[in-house]
Amino acid sequence: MDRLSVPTSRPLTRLIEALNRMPGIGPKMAQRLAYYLLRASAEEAQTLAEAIVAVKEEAVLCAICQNTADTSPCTLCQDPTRDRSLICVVEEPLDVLALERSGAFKGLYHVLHGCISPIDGVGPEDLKVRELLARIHDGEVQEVIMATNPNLEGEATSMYVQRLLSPLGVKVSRLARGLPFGGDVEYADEVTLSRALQDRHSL
Amino acid sequence: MLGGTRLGEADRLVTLYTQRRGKVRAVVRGALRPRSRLGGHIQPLSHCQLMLTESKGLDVVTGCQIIGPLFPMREDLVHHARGFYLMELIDCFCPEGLENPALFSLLVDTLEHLCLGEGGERVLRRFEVRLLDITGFRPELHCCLGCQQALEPVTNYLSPSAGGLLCRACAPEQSPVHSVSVNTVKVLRLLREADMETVNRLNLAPDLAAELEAALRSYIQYVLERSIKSGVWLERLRREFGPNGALGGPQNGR
Ligand SMILES: [Zn+2]
Ligand SMILES: [Zn+2]
Repeated sequence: MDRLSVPTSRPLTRLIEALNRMPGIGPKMAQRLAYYLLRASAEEAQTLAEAIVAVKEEAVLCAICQNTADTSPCTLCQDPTRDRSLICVVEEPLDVLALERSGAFKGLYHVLHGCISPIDGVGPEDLKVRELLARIHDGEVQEVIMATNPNLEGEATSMYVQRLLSPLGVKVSRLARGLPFGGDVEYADEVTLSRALQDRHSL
Repeated sequence: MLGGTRLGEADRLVTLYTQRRGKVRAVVRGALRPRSRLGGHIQPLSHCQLMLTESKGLDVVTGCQIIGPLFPMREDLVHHARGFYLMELIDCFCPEGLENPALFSLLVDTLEHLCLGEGGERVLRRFEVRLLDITGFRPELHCCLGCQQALEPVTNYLSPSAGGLLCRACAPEQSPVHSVSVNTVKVLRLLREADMETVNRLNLAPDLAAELEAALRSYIQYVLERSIKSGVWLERLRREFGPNGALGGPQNGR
């Protein structure tokens, strides 16, 4: 935090340090936000502070899909129009939002809260894998779609889960990996291109 | 690439192992955007030619061309686990900014063979033995480090603290030693010299392979003063899915 040693007040430094610890916020951005909050009305600061406290106190994990929610089971898991034979497995709650925005998925979700990362010592027991297995044992699920990130850790996670699930007689698939829509074949990197070739399908 | 962390909104700070500069940390701008060309190129354990530009005291990757095999291509859990293991070993053994061309070519060589699916665990054992040699932790394998006598062809003891083998008389009771059979010592000596073809042809009985692995693992962990987390993962996969079950190839119905 040496770079932040601008003459400031102690509470301000504390706020800057706290903001700086958040993902995607560097020292400069943390300073900007802190000075903004300093100038903001007392009411605005209060609202933000209360929202932060509330998210810790009131947000719960849905007992079924493990997503963060207001209630357990969450509204998605309670929705009678969703297809209960399909579960899409994602790493983080934000991935659920992204998939929901696409409007293309009508099944249920399961949030693992991370991915297997052997080098960091993160194994399946640190994720919500046991909870997923329990859902499969209920027998209603016919297909599990792995939507982990397309990197080494995400793929290790997806392959591991697949290993656990396939003896249970459930179909396991994963999201196709290929060219981004609106992209250009000429500018695609080698890994993406080879993957896109592997995942090709007939027209 | 040995690993990376997110930096800001869409950038990545990656750890690279390079031929000319050893371990380097560099920024890949926009790596997390789906259309990033660089982000797709810079994959863990892929051998590529990189262009680094210095900007504000940071190395920034400005160009990348893949020249070696694409490690992440194979969909195999154990293949991935071996990759993690190599990344962790290189990261632990190499200080930043110290080049080691011998180690670099050992890594490239090892990756190529793993990608071809040849040799399996034996390729990792060869890597471990060579890694110890190259980084200055070469264990003595010919005479006892206690009494300096040539070792008898009997069970001897590998002592990480002594830096090699000890005979039965010299092996201390308490301190960490690993008993090694005559065959294990033979294989250790062979791995130090052997080329990949020889290693590929090597046929190790399961208990010999297990002893070799355990001896090298404890030696390396002593040298590093820490455990190799991805080694634990590799062992776990073998335990959960069996030595052959874990070698399964393509999945998901293809
Ligand atoms: Zn739910
Ligand atoms: Zn001796």
